[in-house]
Amino acid sequence: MTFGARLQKLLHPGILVRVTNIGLGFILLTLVVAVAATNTGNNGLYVLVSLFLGALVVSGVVSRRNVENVAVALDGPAEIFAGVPVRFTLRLTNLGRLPRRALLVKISSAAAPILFGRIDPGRTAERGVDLVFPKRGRRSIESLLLYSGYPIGLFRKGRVHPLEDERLVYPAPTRVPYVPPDPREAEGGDPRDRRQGRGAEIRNLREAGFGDDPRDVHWPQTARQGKFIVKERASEEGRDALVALDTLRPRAADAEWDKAFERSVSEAAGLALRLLARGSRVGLVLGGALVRPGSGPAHRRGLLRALALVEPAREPGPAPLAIPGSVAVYRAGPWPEKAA
Amino acid sequence: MSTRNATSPPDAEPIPFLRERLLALGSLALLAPVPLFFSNALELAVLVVYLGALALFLLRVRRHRIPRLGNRVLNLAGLLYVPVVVMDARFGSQSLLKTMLHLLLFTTLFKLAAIRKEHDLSLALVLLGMLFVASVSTSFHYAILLYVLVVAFVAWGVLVRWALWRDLATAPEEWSRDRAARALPGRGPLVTSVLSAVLLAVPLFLFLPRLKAPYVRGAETGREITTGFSENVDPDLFGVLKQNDRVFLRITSEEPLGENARAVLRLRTLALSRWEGGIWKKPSKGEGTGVVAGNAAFIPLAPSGRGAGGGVAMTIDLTPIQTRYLPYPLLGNALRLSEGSFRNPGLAYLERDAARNVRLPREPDRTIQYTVLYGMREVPDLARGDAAEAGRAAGSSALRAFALETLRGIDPAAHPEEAARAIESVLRGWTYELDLQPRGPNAVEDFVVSRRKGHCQTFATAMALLLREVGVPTRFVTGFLGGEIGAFGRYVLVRGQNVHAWVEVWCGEARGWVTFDPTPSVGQPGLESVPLAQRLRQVTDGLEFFYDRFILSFGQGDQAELLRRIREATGGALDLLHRAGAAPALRRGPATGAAVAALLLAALVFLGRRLRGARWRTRGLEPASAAYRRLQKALHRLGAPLTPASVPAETLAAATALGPGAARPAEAIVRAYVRESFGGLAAADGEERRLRELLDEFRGAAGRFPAP
Repeated sequence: MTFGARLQKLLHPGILVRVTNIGLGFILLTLVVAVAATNTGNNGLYVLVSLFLGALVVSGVVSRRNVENVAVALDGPAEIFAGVPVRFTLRLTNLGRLPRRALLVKISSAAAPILFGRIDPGRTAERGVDLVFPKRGRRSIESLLLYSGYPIGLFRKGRVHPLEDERLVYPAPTRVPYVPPDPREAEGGDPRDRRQGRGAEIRNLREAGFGDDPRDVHWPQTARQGKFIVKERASEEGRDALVALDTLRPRAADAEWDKAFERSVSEAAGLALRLLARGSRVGLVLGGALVRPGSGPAHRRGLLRALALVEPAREPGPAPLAIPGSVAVYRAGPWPEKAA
Repeated sequence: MSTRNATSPPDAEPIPFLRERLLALGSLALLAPVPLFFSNALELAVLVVYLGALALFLLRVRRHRIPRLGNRVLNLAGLLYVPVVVMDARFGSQSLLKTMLHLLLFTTLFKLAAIRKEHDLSLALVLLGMLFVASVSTSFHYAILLYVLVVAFVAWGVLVRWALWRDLATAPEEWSRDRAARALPGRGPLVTSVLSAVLLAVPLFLFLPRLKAPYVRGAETGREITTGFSENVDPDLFGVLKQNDRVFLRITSEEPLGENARAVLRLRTLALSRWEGGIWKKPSKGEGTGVVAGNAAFIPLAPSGRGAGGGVAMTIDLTPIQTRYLPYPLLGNALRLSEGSFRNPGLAYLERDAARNVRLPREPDRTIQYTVLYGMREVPDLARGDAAEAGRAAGSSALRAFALETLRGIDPAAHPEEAARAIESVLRGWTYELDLQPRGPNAVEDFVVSRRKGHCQTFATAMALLLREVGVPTRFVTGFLGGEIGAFGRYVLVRGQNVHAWVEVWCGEARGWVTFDPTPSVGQPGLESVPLAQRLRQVTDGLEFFYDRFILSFGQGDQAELLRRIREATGGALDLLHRAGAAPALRRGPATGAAVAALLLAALVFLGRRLRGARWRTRGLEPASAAYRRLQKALHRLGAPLTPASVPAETLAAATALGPGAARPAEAIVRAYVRESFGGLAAADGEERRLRELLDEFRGAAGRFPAP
């Protein structure tokens, strides 16, 4: 480290300093008055110059102290979807002995600043911040800029607070209005063979008993028979579904293909979530890679994680391993009619 | 001016916080020209028009009807204004300052009414700064300091909010959301910041380089003319001075004046020996004016030089009273001008004439300071000096007849002192009155023969002329007698009312010049202690004196004097230390030195520990909070990056890093702290002891905090 750098570090340890327009005007005015005072010997002007310089010094010291000894933390939810606003909590703790005033925090350069009017010594102030991550994948908020023009805006001093906070952003799930039925059912499967559950299909109709869900009342039959008849639904649990996504990027693919691929990833996510919500065990086929069907929160995160990190492949991968048992395959994406 | 609807230009962009900022600018715009009302730098009508227009503008802004003048209106106003200001500069006021002030007021007003961009607001702020500076530079009254202080407070508050408004331009909703921000700057920080800036300004003011002499022209503007100490003294006008309550001198004695106060406070300023046409004048040319030079050296006041260099020091500050002569106490024996009294150090010199008058090379236009050494007895002035001129009779038969009648049985030539005392005694029995009516060519004769009423000058003139008629050289002396004891500190204020006149009589070679005061005692000003009600006037007088002496007139000489004093003080302190070190009691060899060093080191360590420990103070805390703070302190000492503000989770995490043995008691302490602080649960019996044991357990189990 050079001597100049050492000196710079000593004088400004990590503090960013910027002279504002008002500050520049103030300094120029001070210079003009200083020249006038020297030229005329008017002590009234010397009083003003002294006061201006005093104000400059006080402003410099106070503004620097104001952004020092402030701890910054940003906490957010574990599940973040691309393009969906997520509520984070920004916490500022005053570690100094004097109150901090008019602190502003910027999370990204384009974002509007967040104001903390006053934080007393030892206190923590927090604000909710809605953040939007436009793209899926690993995204990080590397740092936050804490700055302030306090006290009188001659200088804007700030400090970059490193966060090293990497987050996995899941693809925005496309709302899938209609999930195609199991191909086997289309061939004439009998729902009564399946056990009772919360699936979409009706397994049986029976007279209502104590503890039945009022939502299951079958109103036409109830009206017809003059007593409460409820539907028994067939369970879909145990039925495996695979969402397949073709990841091979053709050599001639352009930016449009990339956009379409991202849409397909979102659609795959939407399908997977919808199927999971329906009670299916869901797996993923991403090019040559397979995520075995499963269910539960951990599996859900695993699916989303795989979809968050999936990238277009340059070369065709190996064929996915065979899944034993009956599997319904759902293909995500509007291609290949256009891209292939 | 027109409203937004009428003349709003199409390119006007929405500016966040425009109304708030215009109101803030308005408050500064109202304050900025205040000194101009008192300095006569600008016609009152112009200021009234400015303030009227500004008030109208602010009223509209308050009602959310922000005026924004269009280009056409601005151009028209400019076209109309330029010829007016040129004509005024050329044929009217013919003053550049006045023209500049006109221009600033005009520009500020129109700029405020034509804000269209963010940049315009900054420009308006700079314009107001310039207007403020220009206004301040026109005033020489001490009240300007108070004004500057008021503006500093107002401007600081405005700038604090201004800075935030600018920073929140993209998020104006933050301002309305945060109550703490709207309460900025807050009374405490405002006062602390402004006073800190003022305190810093003091040394800056004292040591900023002065390349030119202080600009003090105009300091006396509007003050009445004072006469009495010029080279010609008209007795009829002299009394005017006695109606003046201005402070002329400020006297600070090194020692209490005590019983001799009255004698010490007879300050001789100017002795005149020539009486022509009813006016006292300086001696004719050829009387010999000796030049005694010196800067920072005492010069003797008596021509013989006797008695110089000893006695008590008295510092006199003399305000500009249109005289070149320095008042000094009759008991004084030597005088020295302070370096600061000269614009150019090293060029100082004083003249002392045959009548013991001490004269400056030119009339000072600012307060000057000098020191006089005085003793308990008057140093005899044995030099005849201007005795020949002072012995010349006026040739008035009426005066001569009265003198002879009064001195029946006394030979004035043989016993001049006895003769003087006799006349003094007679005159003192007459009536004192401060009647300032002119008395015509035979005023002295009328006074002696019939009227027998007058003020000090009348009595002194009469005595001088009476003694001259019988051949005794007598000169007329003007000066000051008595004063007003200062409200604060050991000083005396000498005002116009303390102006006095008396005579000096040549009493032969053995006695020299002897002072006589023929004014009846009721007309002799004394040393007064003013009642409480008048102390306020002394405060304002003190402020005026302070401003005049230490601010308005502060120059290169004062800086040199200040540096000299600092050097002397430093030298004195070092000398004291040196002598202390060399004192026999301490000269005990290396052991003593080591002991002193150890003591100093111990004191430093103690102070350091106290200062470092202050942040971990547990006094006044509840038992669990105190134990928690001690736990944090212990962890901090072990290397954990903790502060008293660290949250319980951080504290616990730090303790856990030291191993399970340390984590267990730490967790118990943290739980107790959380229960007490956030759960509002009072400590149970024996809780304090339990916490103490937990702390001991933690200390026993904790090793070194692992390096990150």
